[in-house]
Amino acid sequence: MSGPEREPDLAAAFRALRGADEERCPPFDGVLRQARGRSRRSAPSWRPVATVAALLVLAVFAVWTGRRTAGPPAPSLTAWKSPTDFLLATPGRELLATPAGLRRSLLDFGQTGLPSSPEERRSPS
Amino acid sequence: MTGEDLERRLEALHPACHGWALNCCRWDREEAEDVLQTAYLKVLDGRARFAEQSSFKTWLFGVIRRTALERRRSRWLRSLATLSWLDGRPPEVTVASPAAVFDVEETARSLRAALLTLPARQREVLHLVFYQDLTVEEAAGVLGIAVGSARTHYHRGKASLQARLAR
Repeated sequence: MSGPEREPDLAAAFRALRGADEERCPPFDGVLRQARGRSRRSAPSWRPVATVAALLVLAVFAVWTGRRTAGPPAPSLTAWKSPTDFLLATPGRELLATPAGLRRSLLDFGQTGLPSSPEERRSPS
Repeated sequence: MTGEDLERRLEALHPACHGWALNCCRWDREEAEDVLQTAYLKVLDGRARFAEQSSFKTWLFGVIRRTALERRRSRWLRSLATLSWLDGRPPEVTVASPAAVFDVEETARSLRAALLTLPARQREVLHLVFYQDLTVEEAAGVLGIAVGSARTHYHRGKASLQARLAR
């Protein structure tokens, strides 16, 4: 058994404490009235809510007007050409673009372009 | 349960709730009243709902205890936020003033003083068993701890309290 009945001294002391506390216990109605008054005073104000709502409206309006006043549409990425593209067109570019051959000479690349056949190239002109 | 039923039940338990709130607030009467007001509002507003898994008294004591803990935590956070501990002033009083402790009759006074020296858990279990006439099992329910540990707190607390009162 483990209870107050096994400890009469302690039980008596606690009874005295309870009696002393009960003498000073505030009335229930008073506590409830104060609690309700306090909850009314600390009720959430409409001001913070209104401020947040106004800020949201402003933010939406700013985004909307920003979209409407945007400049001309940007050109497509595939259509874009670099303005300095011509610098890459160096002289002799066609030589670099054609694979080299053992029977071919640099002289074959005349004004007419590539020789048609090896015989043609070997025959004296 | 209607609001009126709840109010009636709260009123019936009010002296016991006041005693328990005093214990949770280390006999700081002002703080205990604040805790009691907040706990009653929680019950009446429906923020704390009785699920009928224990007795109404056990459940209500749990609400009061949690409210006292929340209040103590928010006080501590507020003192941290305002850095009031930096200016050398002591933190807000959480222990009853000596005048409040020593103004009752001798037995109650010495018991209160002895209880204040005990660890919180032991003090709470002893209060629930001796002051509120709950069983150790019910006390465990209020405190949200296992019955075994409530029993340990009960026995250790009782031994310490008897030793202190015998001095």
